[in-house]
Amino acid sequence: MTTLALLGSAEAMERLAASEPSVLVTFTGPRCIICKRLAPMLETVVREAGAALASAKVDAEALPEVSERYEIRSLPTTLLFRNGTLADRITGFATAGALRAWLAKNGVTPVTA
Amino acid sequence: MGQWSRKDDPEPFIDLVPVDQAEGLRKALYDELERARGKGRVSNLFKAYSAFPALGLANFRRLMALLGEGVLSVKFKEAVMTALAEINRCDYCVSFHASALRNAGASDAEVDAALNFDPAKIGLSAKEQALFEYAIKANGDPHGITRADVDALRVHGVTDAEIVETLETVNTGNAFNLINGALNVGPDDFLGGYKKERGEQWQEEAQTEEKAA
Repeated sequence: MTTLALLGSAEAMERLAASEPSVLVTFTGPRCIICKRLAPMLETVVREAGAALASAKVDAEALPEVSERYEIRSLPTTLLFRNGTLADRITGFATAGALRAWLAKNGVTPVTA
Repeated sequence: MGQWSRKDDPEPFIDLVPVDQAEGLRKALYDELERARGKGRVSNLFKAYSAFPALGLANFRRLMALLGEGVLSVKFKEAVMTALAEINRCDYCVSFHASALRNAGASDAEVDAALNFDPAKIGLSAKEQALFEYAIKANGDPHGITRADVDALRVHGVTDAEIVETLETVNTGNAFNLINGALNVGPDDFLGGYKKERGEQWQEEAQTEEKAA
């Protein structure tokens, strides 16, 4: 698996979203049980996507201004940025299969090293 | 021994009584396991369960009903339990179920597909692929399952009994993972160490994350 890095500031979030063609960011929290079950699904598809997809996670409670900006109403919420713009979101749990289909629908195809 | 990934505390948290020291109801449980699985194949999970022999027996019979009396393939059920063990980060459980999945006819690539939650590459029927997705979704958020999820199964001719069999596969896998995890119950001597490296990878990732935090 590939553990998603935890972002520590709003600036880090903005930098990441703008830095790569495709960026996945999941909003999570220490008391979110479903987030823990989603994590291995996300880690698997991120690893499979390889260089095609940058990724990170945000503690929604630790960065309330970021959560507010992206209208995070429940956890987990996963955002996909394409070329610096918010392209799509998934709220709640998703299987790795559903995430693969979601990424493909948004034009993210795996790049193997 | 404890789980491979817990090198700092390598012993189980309760006594696992060896087969040759079992008495009374514990011996009855071990005898039933050996009758079903073969001499010496009393798994550490059931040695832990034998602290409460009646529950151990009930859970073993539950497992036998699930694997022996259902209509879905053992390959499917072991694929689901392998995936659950990965989600729950139970390295003994990954090794046990990945070995059982291979014994049920899966190739190494199909075992890896189960560990990557990719039912299309496990060599399952279209019906069992749909049930695998359903199982992982139900495990992730059971109250998030909708009628549409069940309707999607019906397209493949899935019956009520098959849905219950699938959900009970999830329940059983999680229950056994919990006992092994919470009691630090590790691999059996008769297990060859297949996929042992999963636990080591998790440990490395946890250390990397700790350093980064």
